[in-house]
Amino acid sequence: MHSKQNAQHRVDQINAFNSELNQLEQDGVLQLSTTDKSNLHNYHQQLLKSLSQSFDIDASTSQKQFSLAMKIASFIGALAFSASLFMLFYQYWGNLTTLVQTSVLISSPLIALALTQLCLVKEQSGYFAKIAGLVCIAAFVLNLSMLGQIYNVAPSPNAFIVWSVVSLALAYMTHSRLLQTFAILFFACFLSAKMGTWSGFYWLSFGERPENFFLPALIIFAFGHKQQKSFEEFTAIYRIFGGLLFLLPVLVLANWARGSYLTIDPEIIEGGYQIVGFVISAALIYHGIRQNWRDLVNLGSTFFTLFLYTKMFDWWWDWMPKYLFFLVIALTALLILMVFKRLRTGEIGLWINATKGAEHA
Amino acid sequence: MRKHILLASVAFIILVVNAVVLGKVWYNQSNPLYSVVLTERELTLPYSTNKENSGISLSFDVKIPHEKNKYTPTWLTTEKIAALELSNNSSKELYIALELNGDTHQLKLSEAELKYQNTLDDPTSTDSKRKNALRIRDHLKYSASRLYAINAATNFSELADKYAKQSNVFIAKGVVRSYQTYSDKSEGESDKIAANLNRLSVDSIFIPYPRNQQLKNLNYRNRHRSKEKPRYKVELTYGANLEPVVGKVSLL
Repeated sequence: MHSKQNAQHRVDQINAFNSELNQLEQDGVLQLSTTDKSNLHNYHQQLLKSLSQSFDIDASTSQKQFSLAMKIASFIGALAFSASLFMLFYQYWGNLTTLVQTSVLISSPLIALALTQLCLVKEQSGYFAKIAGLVCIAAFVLNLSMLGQIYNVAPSPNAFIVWSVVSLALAYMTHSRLLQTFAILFFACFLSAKMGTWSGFYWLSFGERPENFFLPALIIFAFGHKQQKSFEEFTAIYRIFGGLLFLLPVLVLANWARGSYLTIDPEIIEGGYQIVGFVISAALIYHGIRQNWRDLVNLGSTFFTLFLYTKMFDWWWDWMPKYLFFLVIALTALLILMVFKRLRTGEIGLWINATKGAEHA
Repeated sequence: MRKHILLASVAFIILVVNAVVLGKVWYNQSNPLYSVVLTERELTLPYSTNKENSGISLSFDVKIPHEKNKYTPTWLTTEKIAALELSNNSSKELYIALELNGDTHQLKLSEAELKYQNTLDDPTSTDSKRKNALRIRDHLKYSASRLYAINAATNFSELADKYAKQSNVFIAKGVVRSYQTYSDKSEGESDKIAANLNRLSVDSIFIPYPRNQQLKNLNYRNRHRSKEKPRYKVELTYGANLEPVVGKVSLL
């Protein structure tokens, strides 16, 4: 068992198996002998005990609900601690000498890092370590941005790559997908800003050229295809954000050609990006179905729908009566629903045939 | 084991990055290039104070000489824009020459004085016109910024050589933004690219403790309505990185 995710999956499997076994016994379909039941029960209890000791898993539905509540509390706590740190510094920095300010700023992320390590050692669930990790990166962001203000240093995009590397390291230390998300966003900002600079633009204007995000999006998306033992849950985040960082700029450029580096007719640019948007969304859906990655299917479907509705808006909003426009949107949604239902029925049919084939064999 | 390596790496990165930043600060402070004394006219207090923020930062007020009813600087001509390699709808960090209380400001002041005199001499001039001309003259004379951006270049030495003998001109980095202007086609004009100074790269300076205590009780003053003299001055030094270092701060 490599990761908590695998362990939790195994526990869920055991619980589902036990529920189905009880149901089959009640329906009179299957009756295990007392010896078999006892052996099975002992085996599962041993396994659950071992998994609980090695990974902090939820053995029941109520535990899962508590875990969800803890995750929400941990998230809110982490954000609140970070905001409090920023506000605390702003409240008092005007009354501290430069030497004291510098010392506090440099030591804050180091203290938070030590706290993160302490939490990792002392507390198995990892929730407190995740909070400490987020406070650490918040302290580091505060560190560099405030040093820049105090010493009147010109802003630089290089801070983003440093924050990205530290966020990623903390993410892998604490198994935090939130820190991983920050690492991805910092990396995207850094590479986009650099691409803007290489194109002759001031780096702070990188957001004005959405095409700057394509390269970082592809790199991040590629990471989502790399198997990572013990960190399977991270790969989905790479894929989702890689897809988002590519499709959002395409959506913007499909409606706002002025943001493009290309100097051809704006209508051609917008039309071209609309086609790219449809093709990439469909490709994500196909790729997600092939690889059994529901995250990609959802992302692709969402953007395909967005591109479709923005196109409909472009074609019909101005001249069609509004009630008719929304009726057409609703009917399109129904059509999409029917198409997916047919596909789903087809998938179920395929699965049933495959199961029957396995039985005959 | 892996977690210990990650922990050590993060600590190392934090220390090294801070060392690099402080090293650059030390290099800037150790190699001064320009010294300049700016007053409240050129370095303004924040518009509103925030109880949650005890720090004080002063913002640069840089003027740009432009022709009447035009937004673009007189020195950012079409040829200059081409020399600066500015394409349409882009922004670029360049070296900006800043003149303090020099010919540009004196010219503006003379023009305002002349305009005011004309309203006094013109019998058809209305009272409101005279008052407006007086207000503009007083504003330029007593409270408006005397800091003007007078040139830009892609390399430092071009401006340094050109203004080497002018002690009231110093060089800082700033961002110039270009945009498309739409001309009157019926007049036979074609669309062209114009540009303007968007901001200085370091467009505000943080006043360190305890020098900021003198400014604590001062509020933002709307200088357009006031002909009161500036209340403080700040000595700045620009170092090798063209980043400002705050020296003495004193009340006037």
